[in-house]
Amino acid sequence: MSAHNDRRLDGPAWGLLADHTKPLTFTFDGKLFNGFAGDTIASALYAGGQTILSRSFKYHRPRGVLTMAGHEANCFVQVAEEPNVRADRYTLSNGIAVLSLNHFGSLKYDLFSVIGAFSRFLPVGFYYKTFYRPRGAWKYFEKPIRYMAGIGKLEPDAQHKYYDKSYLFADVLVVGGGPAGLQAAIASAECGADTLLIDEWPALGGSLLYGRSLGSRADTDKTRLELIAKARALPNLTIMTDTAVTGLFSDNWASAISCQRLYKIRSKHTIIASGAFDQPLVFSNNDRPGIMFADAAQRLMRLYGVKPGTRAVIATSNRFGYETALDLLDAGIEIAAIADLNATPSGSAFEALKARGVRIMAGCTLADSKGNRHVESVAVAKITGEGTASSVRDWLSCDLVVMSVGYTPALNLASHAGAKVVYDPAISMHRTENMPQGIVLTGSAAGIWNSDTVSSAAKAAGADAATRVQGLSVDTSPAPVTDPEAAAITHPYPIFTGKGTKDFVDFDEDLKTRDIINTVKDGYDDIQLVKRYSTAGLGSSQGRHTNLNTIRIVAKQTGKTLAQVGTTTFRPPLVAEKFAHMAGRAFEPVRLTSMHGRHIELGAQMMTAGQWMRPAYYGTKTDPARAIAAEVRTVREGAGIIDVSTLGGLDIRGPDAAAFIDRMYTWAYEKQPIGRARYTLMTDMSGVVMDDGVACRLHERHYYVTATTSAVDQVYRAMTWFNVHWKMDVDVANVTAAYSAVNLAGPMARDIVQKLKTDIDFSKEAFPYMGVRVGHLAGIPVRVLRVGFVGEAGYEIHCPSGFGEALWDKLMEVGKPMGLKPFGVEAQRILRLEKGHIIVGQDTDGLTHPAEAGMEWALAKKKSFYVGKRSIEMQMTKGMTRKLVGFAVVGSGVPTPKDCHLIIRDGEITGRITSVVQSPTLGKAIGLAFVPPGMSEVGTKFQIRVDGGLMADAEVVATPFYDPDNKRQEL
Amino acid sequence: MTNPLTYLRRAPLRRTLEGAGAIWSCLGDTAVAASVPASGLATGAVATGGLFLGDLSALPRLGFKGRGTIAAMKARGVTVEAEPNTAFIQPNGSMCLVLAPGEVILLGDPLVANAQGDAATYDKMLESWKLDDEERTYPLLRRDSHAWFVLGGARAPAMLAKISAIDFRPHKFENHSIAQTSVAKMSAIVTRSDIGVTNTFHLLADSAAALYFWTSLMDAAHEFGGQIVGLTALQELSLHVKTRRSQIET
Repeated sequence: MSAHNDRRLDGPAWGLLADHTKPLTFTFDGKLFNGFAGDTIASALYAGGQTILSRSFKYHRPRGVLTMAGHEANCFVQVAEEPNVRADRYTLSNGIAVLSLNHFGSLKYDLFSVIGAFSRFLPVGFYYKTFYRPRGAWKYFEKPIRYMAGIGKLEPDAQHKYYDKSYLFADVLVVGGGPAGLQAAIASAECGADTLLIDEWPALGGSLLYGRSLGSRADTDKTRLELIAKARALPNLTIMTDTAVTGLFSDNWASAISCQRLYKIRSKHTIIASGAFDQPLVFSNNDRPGIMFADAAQRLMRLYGVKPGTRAVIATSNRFGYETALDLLDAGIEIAAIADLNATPSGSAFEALKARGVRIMAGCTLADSKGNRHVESVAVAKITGEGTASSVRDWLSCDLVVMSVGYTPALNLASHAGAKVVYDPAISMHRTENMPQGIVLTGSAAGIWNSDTVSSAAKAAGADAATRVQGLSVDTSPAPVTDPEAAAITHPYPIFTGKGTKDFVDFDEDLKTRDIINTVKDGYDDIQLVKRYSTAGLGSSQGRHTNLNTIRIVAKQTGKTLAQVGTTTFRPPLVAEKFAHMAGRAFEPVRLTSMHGRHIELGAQMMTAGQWMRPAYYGTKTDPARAIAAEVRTVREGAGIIDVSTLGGLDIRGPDAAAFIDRMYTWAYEKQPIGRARYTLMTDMSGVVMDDGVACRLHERHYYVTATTSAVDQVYRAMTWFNVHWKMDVDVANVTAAYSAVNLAGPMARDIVQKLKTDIDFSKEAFPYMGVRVGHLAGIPVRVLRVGFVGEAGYEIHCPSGFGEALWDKLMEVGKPMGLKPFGVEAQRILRLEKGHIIVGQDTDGLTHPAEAGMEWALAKKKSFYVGKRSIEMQMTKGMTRKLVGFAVVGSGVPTPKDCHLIIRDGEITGRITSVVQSPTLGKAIGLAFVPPGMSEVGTKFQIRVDGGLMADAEVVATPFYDPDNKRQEL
Repeated sequence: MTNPLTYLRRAPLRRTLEGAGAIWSCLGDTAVAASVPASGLATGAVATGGLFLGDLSALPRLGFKGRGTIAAMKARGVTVEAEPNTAFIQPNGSMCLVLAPGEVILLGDPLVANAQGDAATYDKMLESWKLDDEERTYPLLRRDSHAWFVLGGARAPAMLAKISAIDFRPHKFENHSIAQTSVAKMSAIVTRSDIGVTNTFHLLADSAAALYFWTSLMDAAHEFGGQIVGLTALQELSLHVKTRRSQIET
């Protein structure tokens, strides 16, 4: 266990988030550490003396806390099976096992760190220039390079966790719970708007949590508490903490992540008060553990009660460096010196420190650092010009270096939404132009830094947003706010490089000043190309701490202004989103027929048919072929029952019902007698076969039309679309779910159905083939169709779905003594193929027109119109290029062909199989196949290439294969 | 004890509710889950805002569709106007949901003791309807095509936000409003009809996907402590509301 507890600060002013009454333990690389509830992994490690958190991406340099905000890759660790956890944002829990990343050997003694000595051989873009010669060499380099540059490790056997999504709604969304966001949200809510305030930290306050923006720490904290109390008292203000807004899209659609949930936020107006990101001072060896941003040092102390060091050097160009120095003194940390990049420091904090005798070195910068795995001293040098410093160095011993040389506004979300980001030389920072309607920036994100101005501007933004979303009159928009103080925040060129030094511009990607310069020298002088070639800003920080300095270097190298150089595009997500967040909880609707439970009880093996579940066959999985063959025999020799509830059903009703059907389908229906069913074939406007089924005329003005399971929605859509265009007096209703149905088929079918009490005359004479009757069966209201898809006498019995299970029960009950058994989709496939019936979508494709499928007989010749008629006539004139034919495999000794196997003639592919089965009834393999018209004559021989490259002999045969005279179905 | 299998008409979730320990009672031509003891939810908990979910699929309902539907409904004494996405409460407590100027769904009142009472009315409407009447309205078997669930409690809008993109919060989605939208990736008709002060929604969705839909609702409700209720608990809640109202008025 670590003994470095002297780094902890006690007292109410320190460790706002860490509860010192609740100790926790955890391990880091197997070593036990202490922490407190509310700590992050990084804060607890730092308190325990572990200041190296990781090794850098390329050179494997030791890295530690930089932002304490989870903004860069320095803080990545692995927690159990979860890779790339941000140690400085991950709230500690008892007993977790944390591992460091990206090293060979231990974190302390990483053998890969030797790479740093060869950095001159790894110039920017080296992977574009090396490893690809000789040809094929890359595959030998790729694996070790990826290993060396790897970050977290994926655990393929990781347990699936529950992630989901939820919508959130608000009139006004305020992003950021700092001083600006809080005041904007309060103003919005006070003006009556339904307001949602989101902040990524566990507690509201932003910089008020740790800073001194109101002069003293006490005053700042008092203001924070007052604002929070005010906000929480407003009933129409919803507050969410620990939630990160990750993207802002069209129409104010914002995404946010909290724990294992992705929120989809809909608001009318968005106020972005997302603050600003620290910018690093670029100098030699500016990446050693112990060198961090001022905000990071303040967060360690104020949020977690951890001393960042014992003796500090501060490099600054603004008031925040001085304010941090005051905090460090309050924490008992010695200040070796403050190096101010400005020649003439000023301000109240400066005066206070000066009065306390702190050494202030005006017009100076840091030029170098030394240390063995932690900073031990830094060199301070006089600034001699833009980006240059004296070679005379004043080395100061220290274990903490704090940087505060400027910020860049967090304009990412505004940019996601479409705002243009431009550089403003007056403040040495970027700002936005052309903000989309309904989105405003406030606070430091809008370039406002003076606390009074922040307050007034935020309040105005909140009130204005509330007024607008409530539809109240708005005279004018709030005037654009300019803050003179903004010019004193960011140094225009905090880059002091030396030849051959490790002066990092990008900590994620291990990019130095020289890398950016060489990128420009290599010809990539456009900022977009600089980004892609050098990879600056491509790491997990997404350019937060890289872009501005990169632009500065490019501007200097190209002789352009920063405004001319422009900037790269911010793209969502702003913080990392897991694939699990994107996937969320899967919603995959499953449709079950009313008889589903019975199928399960009977041992059915279920299969999917679109969203439906259907019985494939009944029996164990051990010998499906045998079970299916038995089901086929049952239907051919006795009686079988299959659940066909998934068939589409459409009620077409109204005075124009017949005329409408006549237009939608290819055959003729206007003269169809009531009580009769007729085959239907639907084509689209290009003449392609869409669907088939039967149309049952139940009344002069009523057709009940069936459609295939998979195409009914498409058919319904087409019907309603054409009905709107044609303006016919007809109503189309998709009643698929309203009706269940069974097909009772086989020589015994009539005997079975007649056992039930019914008001329908099922005799052959009264109810002929293709007849339709409406009545009752066993007390259940039914529509009965005498159709024969499987080629036997049978009845398709449709009933309201609430009665479906009872209908099944009644039929099974009376049919059992007569050998009635259920059969599944697989047996039905065989039965229908034996009968030569096609399945649209299986035996046709997206180009099949009726003649190709042998359906000319279903085309009405005398009708002036049906959908697709003109196209079909054109295709018929043009001639066919293929034809669907029946075939039988001849000979033996080769495997049975499968669907989509190719037809070969003279070594050339000439067609393909659409359906093929081993027919139990006929004792041979039969099927349907597309072949050239010249091969469609009965008796034509061809070969099929089957599994293993073997060739099966087959010949074209007439269909139906079974009962060609249709005597059985008309029994 | 009522056995749902003795009826020819059975609700899609019969097996699921049996698994949850449902106790059934007769409701005209079918059985309804009167209570679901396994959920352990008392009416009082419902009244105090606990999230509850019930299956009303057994209850009567009927749809009509066609350009003459509103006039045809008025001719049959239904209180209704051509105001899409509005639920019209009938004098007897049942509802007429107007989905479009030419489409309605009639929902029986589940909160009265005689909850099957509307079935006779709907049967009569169906029997008296004639295709030749030139009314241009056509009945739809909504009792078969759509499962019917009730969802209530103060957290119901938050729960629905997990599975639907509509803002169902009370101040944004008025009582007796209807949303025809996607819920858990399925088309659904969501109607708000509060029981007293209890935020209550009626959800109609594809009966064939009833089990999937129910499972999705239960999954979303889990976070808020959602419980299954039977018809009796709902009716007692309604009675409780009426009694309270009566006490306040006197």
